[in-house]
Formats: sequence, C-alpha cells, structure tokens
Amino acid sequence: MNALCRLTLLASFLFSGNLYAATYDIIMKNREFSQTEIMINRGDSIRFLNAEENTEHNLFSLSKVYPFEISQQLPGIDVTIPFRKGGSFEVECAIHPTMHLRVMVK
Amino acid sequence: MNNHITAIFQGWLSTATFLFAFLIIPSLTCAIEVSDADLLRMQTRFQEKGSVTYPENNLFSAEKLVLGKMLFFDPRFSTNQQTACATCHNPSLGWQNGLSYTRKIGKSPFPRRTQSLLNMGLDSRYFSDGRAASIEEQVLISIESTAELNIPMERLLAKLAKIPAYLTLFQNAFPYDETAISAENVIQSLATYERSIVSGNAPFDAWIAGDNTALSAQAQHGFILFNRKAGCVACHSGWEFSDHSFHDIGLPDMDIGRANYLPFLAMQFAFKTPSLRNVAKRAPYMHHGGFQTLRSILDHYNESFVRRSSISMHIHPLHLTDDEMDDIVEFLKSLNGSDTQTTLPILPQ
Repeated sequence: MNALCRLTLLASFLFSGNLYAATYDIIMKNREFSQTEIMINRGDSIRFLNAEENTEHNLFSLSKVYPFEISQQLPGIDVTIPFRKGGSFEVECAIHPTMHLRVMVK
Repeated sequence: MNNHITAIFQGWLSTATFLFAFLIIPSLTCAIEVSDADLLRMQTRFQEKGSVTYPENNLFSAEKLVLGKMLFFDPRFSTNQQTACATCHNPSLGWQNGLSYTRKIGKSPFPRRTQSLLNMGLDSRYFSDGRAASIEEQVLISIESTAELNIPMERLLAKLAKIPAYLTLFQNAFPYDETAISAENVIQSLATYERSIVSGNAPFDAWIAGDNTALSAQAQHGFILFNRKAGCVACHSGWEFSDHSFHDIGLPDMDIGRANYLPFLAMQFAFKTPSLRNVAKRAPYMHHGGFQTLRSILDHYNESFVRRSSISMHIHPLHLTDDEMDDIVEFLKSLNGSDTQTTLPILPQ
C-alpha cells in the first residue's frame, strides 16, 4: 500500500464521523412498519421501503431535535434517512395514524 | 314464396339465437365476472369484525355504562340546558343529526357535519380531522367546545352535584374514589357508553357468510365494482369499511382538515375515511355535509373531484357508467345493519 493510499484511509477514519455506519431496512407493508422499535448508532441510516401494492405512505417525526417529513412515498419507493443525532425519535405515517416506529439512536 | 318467407324466418331465428347465446345471456350474468376464488378473496377482506377494546385506564363496567348513557342523553348540563350529546348524535338518525355544517349550537357555528358515533370503539383517532387520540380526549373536547356542549367541566360538575341521584350512580360506578363526581369519571363513563355503540349485522354480512340470497344480483355486481373498477376498497376496507386513515379526496371545500394539526402537504384537505356501515341511512355525506345522496358521492369520485397536489393517489377518474354507479349504490344499501334499538334512559332527579 503506497503512502497516498494510507493517508486517504487515515483521513477517512478521522473525518467520516462513523466509519462503520450501517443502514437498516424497515419495510412498510399492510399499513404497518416491519417492527415497532429499532436501536441504532449515531450516524446509521434507516432505509424505509414502501412494499405495499397500492398504498402510499408519508413519513414524519415531530422530534424537536431532528424533525423531518417525507411527504409522499408511493409503492415500491424507498427512502433512506440518516440519524446523525442521538435520542429517541417517533417515526409515523400521517396518512395511517396506527403506524409508529420508535428509533432509539445511541 | 312460402319457402322464401320460411328461409327469412329461419335466418331471423338463427340470428336471434346467436344474439341470445352470445350477447344477451352474458349481459344477464354480468354480475359473475370474477372467479369464485377471487370473489372469496374480496369477501374475506370484510369478514373479521374487530372487538372493542377498553383501555387499561378505563376498563369496562356495567355501572359506568349505565351512568354514561344517562349523561349522554341528559340535556341539563349544557350551557343552554337544552343540548345533550344525543341532540347531535341522535340514535334515531344513525348517531348523527341529519344536518349539514350550517347549524349552530354553542357560541360558535360548527363548520362540519356531525360525525356518527357508530363503531368508534374500533377506531384509533377521533373527529374527522383526527385531533383526539382517544375517546376520552374526544369527550372532554366535545363537552367544553363552544361549538358543542359549550360548558367548562367545572360548571358541569357543579350542575351534576345538584342532582342527588347522580351521586349514587357515580358512587356505584366508581366505588373506590373519594370524590365520585369528578371530571375524570364523567369522561370515563361517557367514553364507556360511546364504545358500546356498535352497528349490527347487515344483509352483506349474511351474504359473505354464505347466504347467496341475502344480496340481489345488482348489489353483488356493485360489490365487485366497489372492489375492482371503482377501487373504493383502497380506503373503505375491513369490517367497518374504513382504513381509519386520512386522505384528500378532492372535495371543493377550503377546510384543510388534518393539516390543521399536521401541516404537511399530504394532510392538506385530508379527513378520516368514514365507516360505510349503515351509510344509506346517514345522509348528508362528507365532512361538510355537501352531498345528499350516495349517487352524488359516486359522481364526485367518478370525475368531479378537485385536482390538486395533495390529492390521494387513489383518486382518479373512474369511468363508471350510470348503471355501474346504481349497482354500487345498491351494494351500499346492503350495509344497513339490524342495530339494537336504543331505549331512552329515565334520568336522575
């Protein structure tokens, strides 16, 4: 491994925040999230896949720390949301109010 | 000459036979346009009647139910002393009042049609805009709202305390509470009564249970259209015929509905999908009471809806014919249940 390559690796380790950031899948099907809670590390992401045949979804969190909203998620579409701040987040679908996912970010 | 006439007659006869065999018979049996397996799949979607669940902090008791029913029908607590919950949620009118949104009861005009209380124990959010997360929360809002009973809870409790027989009823329902007549107990009793309001079985239920005579051929065809071409099932699903969700269905109205509480594009003009149980008995329709007939609703969905960015993905031109819309209306009439008759309580003095 030449010196430039070693330097690049070192730089990415120092500045990337979380070198081992993972992406977790949550499936939205039958108007439910595939699980009701998930624990992840800061910097990890969740990929939300709308696996319905004919139902749109919406994703939002009213968290003061990290509010977000994905207005319309059509069937077959996936959306990846990174969680860069620690805490507990309630992710919901505005269209289907029984859908709740608690995301705990360590 | 005679041979010629006979030949013509035979020609007509064979043409008529052809028309009858290939055109008329299929049109008479147009109700059967899906396989038995597909029909069974459609029927199964509506079979399972959920059971009303009582929350941990307000479990069912017969005493709460009795008390809640009295409070529900008692007009003496409202500010004008003439308005009970049952004034607007009238059991004789499908637990609503048959009026559109222009009525006025409290200080403020009420901008929406009264919602039916049928099957609300099977629901998850309350009011057509979903602003209450529990029936208990809904009860408190309705008591204090200036557009509804219009009475602060403290004043209601003071009025209750002046009727001695109510104290006994509260003590029976809440024997372990030091102060039986309390805001919490008024709310719990009314919520218990509201959860008991469930519609009965309808001809449609008999049909999906196997009685093929319970629905006319026209209604059966309407059911297939409801599931297929019209796609109503996308939102009106399950035993209650509601997905309990919020959609903008393109009504020509400026009320933004759910977006008052969740200010997202998808919630602009969105209201909760109403149950279709007993729907034929519950005009006027929609949150604004703007439609007087079931047929006018179908006309709306067929092509008259407002196109805008918040519209639900399920709303698009349906291209239903007049006959098809009549068939769907006939099917909707089959959802009229044989509900338990509600008797009026003798109120405490």
